Amino acid sequence: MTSGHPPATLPLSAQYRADAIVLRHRDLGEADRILTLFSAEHGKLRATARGVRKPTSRLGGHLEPLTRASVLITRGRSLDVITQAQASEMYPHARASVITLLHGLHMAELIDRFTQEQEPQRELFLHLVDALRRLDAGQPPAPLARAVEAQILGWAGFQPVLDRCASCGADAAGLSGPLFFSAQLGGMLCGACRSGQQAWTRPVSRETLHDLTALQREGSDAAARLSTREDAAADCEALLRWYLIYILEAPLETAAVLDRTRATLGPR
Amino acid sequence: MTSPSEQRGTQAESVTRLIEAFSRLPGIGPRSAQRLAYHVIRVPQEETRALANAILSVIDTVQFCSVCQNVTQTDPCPRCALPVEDQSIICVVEEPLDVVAIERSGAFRGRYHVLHGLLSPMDGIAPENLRIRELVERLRGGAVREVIIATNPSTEGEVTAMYIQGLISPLGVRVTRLARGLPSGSDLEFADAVTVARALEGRTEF
Repeated sequence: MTSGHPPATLPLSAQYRADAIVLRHRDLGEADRILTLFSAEHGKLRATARGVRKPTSRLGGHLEPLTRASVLITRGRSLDVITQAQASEMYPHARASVITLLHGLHMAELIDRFTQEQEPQRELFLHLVDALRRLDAGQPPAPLARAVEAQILGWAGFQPVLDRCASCGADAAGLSGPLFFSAQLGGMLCGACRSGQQAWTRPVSRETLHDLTALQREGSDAAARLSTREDAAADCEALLRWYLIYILEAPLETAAVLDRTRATLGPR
Repeated sequence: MTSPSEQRGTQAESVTRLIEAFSRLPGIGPRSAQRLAYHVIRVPQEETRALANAILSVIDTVQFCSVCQNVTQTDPCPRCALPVEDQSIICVVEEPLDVVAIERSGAFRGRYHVLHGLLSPMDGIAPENLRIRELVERLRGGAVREVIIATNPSTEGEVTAMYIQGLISPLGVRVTRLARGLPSGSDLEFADAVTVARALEGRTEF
């Protein structure tokens, strides 16, 4: 929570600037909004934007979710107040399809859920900007979302062990037979170790392990080279989501809406 | 739970309950709730009774129109019951207040459909939480040739509009969206890039 006390990472002056991506917003009062921003300089921030829902607001269009904007923020008593905003990247093509837009919002939700306020995370900020740019350039959204998921897991200290059994340490290359993934142990399990790990364990294909390894190593660069087989992509998505839900101990809201939208409209 | 003033016996329990009730209203904080509660106590009793009766009357009489889903005292609502100038156009809006805003313009003569919300994925508001199924049912009759999607030009409004468009386009209905551009009385220099681009795209003969 933003408190009235100046946080350690923020300058002590009454105003500060931030280069930020709007993660989400919530209506406040008649025409205001509370925004959650993810900034390069100060990490996640919460601030109010006054009158932003009025058609004549100078801020309105610059502060929609998934917009990168340069903002000037004035320190407030309870919440800080955004006094100026200038959008620098709006990713209009990423907004042109409901499926792409939902993937972008899913990325924003993950950042929001995993980060704490006012802890600068420049590397994660740049990962998000990169993913949104690629989304805007027309790259398929699902592999990009997988890349962001893998990057967040690594950044948060939950990078799964994929090259060996997370329990006995046996090298993956030398293992035969079915492989498994344990959310509790945070990685791949060989068939022998699986018997002792029943809860939060599921089968994992070698193709998915290969894709996950590529995503861990290369992030969004690997997105274009992931397995294109529909069932392999679905397996990779299901495993990452399942692991994220285990870590967060809560459902992924946007992903659930995305699934239902794809089921209704098709994977466009 | 008793408030500190209640514990000290300086505030009646019924007043505390009223303050709590007011503070649950949108846009009302604890201070405003306190002011409203003491205002209600101060004004003549008949005024307070009229307010209470108006609230009770809303609960007892207001319902959702089974056709357009707007709030109404009769079902179907007067707008849906009477023949309107153009029954083949439906304007889809987020909430009943948006119907009022469009009616104020005097520029629309068709029917409405109220969704009672927008898709807000991060808040867990999914299609089934809105009155979208009812809209699709209305369109299956075949009498509607155009649906104007008049959701807000916000991210949630866009997600909702695109979802509805994907859902109803296969039904052979023309789907249009309210024009987006520069609002009257605003400054071009403060407009964001998407708004300016949309205003240019939607330019008309002068």
